[in-house]
Amino acid sequence: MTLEVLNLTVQLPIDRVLTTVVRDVTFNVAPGEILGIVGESGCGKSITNLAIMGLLPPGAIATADRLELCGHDLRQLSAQSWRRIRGNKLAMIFQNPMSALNPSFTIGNQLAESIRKADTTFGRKQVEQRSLELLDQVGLASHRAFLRTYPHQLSGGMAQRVMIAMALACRPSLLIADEPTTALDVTTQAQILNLLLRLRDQFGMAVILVSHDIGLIEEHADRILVMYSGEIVESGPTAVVTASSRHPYTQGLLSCSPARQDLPPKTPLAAIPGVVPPIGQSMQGCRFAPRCSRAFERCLTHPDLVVRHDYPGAAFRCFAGETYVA
Amino acid sequence: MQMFNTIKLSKGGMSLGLVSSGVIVLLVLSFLVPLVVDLDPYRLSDNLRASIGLWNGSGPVLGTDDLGRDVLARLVYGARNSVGIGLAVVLVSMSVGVPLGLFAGVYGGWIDKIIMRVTGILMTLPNILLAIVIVSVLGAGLLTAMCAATVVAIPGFIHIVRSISALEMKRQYVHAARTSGDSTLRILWTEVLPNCWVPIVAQATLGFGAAILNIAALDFLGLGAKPPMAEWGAMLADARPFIESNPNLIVLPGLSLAATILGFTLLGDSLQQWLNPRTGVHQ
Amino acid sequence: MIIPAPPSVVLRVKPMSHEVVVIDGLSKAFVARQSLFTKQSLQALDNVSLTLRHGHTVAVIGESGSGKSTLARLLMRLERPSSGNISLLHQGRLTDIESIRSREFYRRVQMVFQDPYSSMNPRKRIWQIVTKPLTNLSDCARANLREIAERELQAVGLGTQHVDAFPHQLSGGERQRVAIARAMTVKPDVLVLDEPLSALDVSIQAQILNLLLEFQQRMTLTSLFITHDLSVVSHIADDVAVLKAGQLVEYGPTAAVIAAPAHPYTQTLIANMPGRPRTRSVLAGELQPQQRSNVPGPEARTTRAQSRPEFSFRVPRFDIGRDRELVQIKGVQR
Repeated sequence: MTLEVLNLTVQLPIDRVLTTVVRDVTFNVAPGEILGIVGESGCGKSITNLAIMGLLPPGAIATADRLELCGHDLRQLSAQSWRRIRGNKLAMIFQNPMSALNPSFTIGNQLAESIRKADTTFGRKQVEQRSLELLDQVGLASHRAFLRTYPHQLSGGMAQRVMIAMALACRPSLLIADEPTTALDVTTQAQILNLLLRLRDQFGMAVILVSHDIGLIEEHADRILVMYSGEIVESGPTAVVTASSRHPYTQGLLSCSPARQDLPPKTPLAAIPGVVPPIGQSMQGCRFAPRCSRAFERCLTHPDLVVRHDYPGAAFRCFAGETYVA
Repeated sequence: MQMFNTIKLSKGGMSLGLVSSGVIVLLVLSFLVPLVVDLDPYRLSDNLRASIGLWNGSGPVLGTDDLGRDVLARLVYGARNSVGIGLAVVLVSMSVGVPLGLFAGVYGGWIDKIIMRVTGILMTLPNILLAIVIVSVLGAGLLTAMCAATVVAIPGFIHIVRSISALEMKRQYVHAARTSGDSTLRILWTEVLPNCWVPIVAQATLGFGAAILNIAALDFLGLGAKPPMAEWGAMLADARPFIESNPNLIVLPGLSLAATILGFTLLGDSLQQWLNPRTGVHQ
Repeated sequence: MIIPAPPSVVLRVKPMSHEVVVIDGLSKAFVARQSLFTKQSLQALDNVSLTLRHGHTVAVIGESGSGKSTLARLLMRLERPSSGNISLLHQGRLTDIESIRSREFYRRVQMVFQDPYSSMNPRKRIWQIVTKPLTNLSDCARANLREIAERELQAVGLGTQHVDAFPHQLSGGERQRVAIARAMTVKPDVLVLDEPLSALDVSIQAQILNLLLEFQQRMTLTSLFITHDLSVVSHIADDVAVLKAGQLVEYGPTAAVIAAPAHPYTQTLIANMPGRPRTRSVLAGELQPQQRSNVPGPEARTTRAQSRPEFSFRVPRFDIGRDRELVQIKGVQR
């Protein structure tokens, strides 16, 4: 197992009060597997990522029964140990590549920085060679001239490819991609995600792909985790979950995009009513119940994550889902 | 369950606030104390030869200067003068600089170009030098020194306000205000100006310290306050011949000056931190 | 001349209504000074012509840099065009929008911005935000503004408890409803929507889309709907205009364009539509670093002659082509 997370809970100081924003999140990522985490704003997926990377904001408290990356316990790491893990075993790419690249340095400079961090013995020639190699792997022109370009000369898609190249410099075991294509155009999205798939096949690294777009996750992830308001509400192999989801929220997400609904134009779409509860709000019972069409009395108690009978690798958190027949 | 990732709150911000509040308190006291205690900064001593010295059991607590004047009294009155002068300079430069910066940022175009060129030129000239030039032209005196300090402080306000207003004009809610029918002047007043206050306040507190320093420098050079006015810069100048025999005459005004300027600078800093919604999270 | 629709293509053609907004040959170039001697111009829009008819919704679709936001800003008089003009049906005649008084113009044409958070002053309360167009543009009494605000909020499906709140206290979807309420308060004839769904979560998008549909039908709005999402277009728009790099490459009734796109760019967009089986037809043309500069407005291709040699790439450049021919689809009357 590349990453093992057991009962991760994160509390953040909000308005000077510690509130629980992520509750009991448990999942594993195997080598070569793409885990897709789906959720909308306020679901806690970004906080979960930050907790795994050790980048929570000051004042945050995270607890977990287990948090291991390739066998290393991530819970009590010092800053120095974190520096050894990040950029070596663990790499990440974020949503807006333009703001992640330093505008004052050339691409070559920034690539070299990542390469040297991974392998401190490299000399200039070797660094350059490796840079070109990485650029080639991500589908950019492997020219020395390209190394001299600045971030502002690149389009969004190219910048994101550079970010991926930088992330790959250390041959990481785990790559966390937090909404890597949200800021990009539709056609570029397809290119970047294809690239990630290809790299996964080539290097066998584990990938956590986070997005609010379930269609994207459906198409590119092996396993899926659906998060709502700080909890996992459904998990399992993608094909299983999208074809026969048990949780009403997952079903809502799958059905409410206009592309999926084969309704005639100008007719009202099916939508999930209501809004996501404010982050950290404490609630009695199921957190999705206020918006759920199938809520009943039992939903006043908090449901646990239950493994499915038909697919042991999948689980969901819903009382109504237990008796659900497709 | 094991705990991890607890990050301690930084104490730096709080100590800044403490120091600056201490200084402010002292300055406020300088206004109140003379109402209670009888301090006369101008009374000369009869016996000039024996007058200079430290506290010798009776008489002025911090000693007297070469003319027999009470040093403590002069420090206190000097504080009042400094505060008053600093306030005047900051208020005037703010009332000139902020509108100019707003017009430059909001209206753009030629107004912006002209104002920024002039501001740029003024900012490249060293402050003290420019102040000296102005005073030399207008003639020495406290009023002209204050004018010089004001002129020197104005570009700072123009620059910061113009940057912010130019940025604000690009915001979507300014576009929305325009499509809601607001005129440009209205937008300036209701959308742009309220977002400028925080940096203006920070600039004003920093400017306070700078104004006091500039005036003190001019006084030291003899271009500002005329005797017998009690003012720290002038006290420094007067005390130069006695630097070896009575260092307290230089050290005390110098310390007061340094502490006041430091206090206001730190106040400006901690105000910026405090007003920034992202820092200052407590548990 | 009316081109009859071929019988194999089924079109839902709305009866032709009168023109409300006519955009004719609109071009916009942003000029930036690279240095004291060189100027660089970015052609954001190049000779775009569109017509908005009464009660119809025209969707403008394109990717970033296509100029669609510039089009919206030009229509809202937030920028001046470099050439071409925009006319609005005013007092019975099509008049150039520059010659209409601000007050009257904004009473008839309103906008919903892309980001509901940044389009509201964070220091103002919701009722102030919602009623601002009303106070500026009409002579309504100031006394009952809060009641008016409550009414408008209810019309967009929000409870009245938000009336005194600040924007940051609302969720994204709620803020966008407030933005729509603000635009609808003056009962405009034309509504310009600049990617109103892009900043929202997917489940909220459906809600807001339903709200917009409701307004569209209830008030016979004429609207210009800018988006990058084709699935939304097919659901809400009567006509669609496809922009690429500032040029209009396809324009016609939605159903026809989506069923049988004529231009290769449109075909690629449709093939990449989420939810459709992807045929992996990928545009490779973006693999060239461009001379960009910090100019207000969208990133657009520059027209400055390249002084450095162009990079050559392994992947052949998929050139969309410089032909300006507007591809007309069956059934559109010119």
